Amino acid sequence: MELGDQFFGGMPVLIIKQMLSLFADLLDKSSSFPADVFMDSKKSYLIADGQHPLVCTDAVRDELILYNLGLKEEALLFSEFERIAAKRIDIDSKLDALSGGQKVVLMALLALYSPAPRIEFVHLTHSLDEDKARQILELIKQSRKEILLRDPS
Amino acid sequence: MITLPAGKRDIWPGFSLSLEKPLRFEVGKSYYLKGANGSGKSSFIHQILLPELEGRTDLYVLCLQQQMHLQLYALRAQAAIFKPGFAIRSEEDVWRYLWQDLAARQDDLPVYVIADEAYNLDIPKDMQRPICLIYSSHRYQLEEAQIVEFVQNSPQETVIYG
Repeated sequence: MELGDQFFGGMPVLIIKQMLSLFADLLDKSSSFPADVFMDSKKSYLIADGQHPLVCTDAVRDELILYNLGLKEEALLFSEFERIAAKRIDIDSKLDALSGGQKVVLMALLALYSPAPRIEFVHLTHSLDEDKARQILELIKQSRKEILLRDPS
Repeated sequence: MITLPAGKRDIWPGFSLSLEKPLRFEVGKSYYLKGANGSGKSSFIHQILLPELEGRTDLYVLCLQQQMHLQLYALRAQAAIFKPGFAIRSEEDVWRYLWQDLAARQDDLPVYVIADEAYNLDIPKDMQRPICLIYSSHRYQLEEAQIVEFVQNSPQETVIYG
């Protein structure tokens, strides 16, 4: 499926991402915007901030669309989420039923299984217990993406 | 001081928190809510502890929420009206703003500070007001804090040991 064929809240995902990019230009990079997508730079990064892990407020489906995950990646995400967080979710699961740490786990998996070749994680492990932090860092180590970890606190 | 009675509380369909025995939170002490992600710490704060404190006129409540961007925006709007020039960009700024607000009040009522996965637990040294600190964190454990442990027996139930 092409990026522009997907819809989110009635708007094509491409437009959503252009809006995010526009906001990213308007806002300081260190500001508290949930998930900035810098698309224009030659070396753009998907920024995933553990202080603001999710963009949407309704269901997991919305986050999957926003991160542009394919069906194979979706299945992998659900399987890994259940393994790490010991909780089963699907596309209809409500995001507000997740704890703060579970939201961070979901954010990390969304970023890792998204098509983004480069990711910058900010405050990734702050809200995670030791076991979940270790498992997420292990997945990052195994990933072929270019990944930066930043913890300004 | 507040006391939460022992017993089982239904938090949402399919999940409950059980207090093994009555849980007391005293002014002048610190309490560390310890437990894995998803064990119910935030639910305890929002559905048991805060409702107990809300409406009390003999104390203040200073609550820092986990993943607090909405709280940050709300305080930024308030500061724009009541304290123009006070920039609120981070959790640290929110913390500083709320403490300054408390310090300006002319009474000696205690304050219950509730910090859910806070990034900052520094209480201003010149704060004279009696404090009860209740916090959760995967990063900090204050030496003097009493542990309130959340043990998840099953996906449906967590038992709280104080």
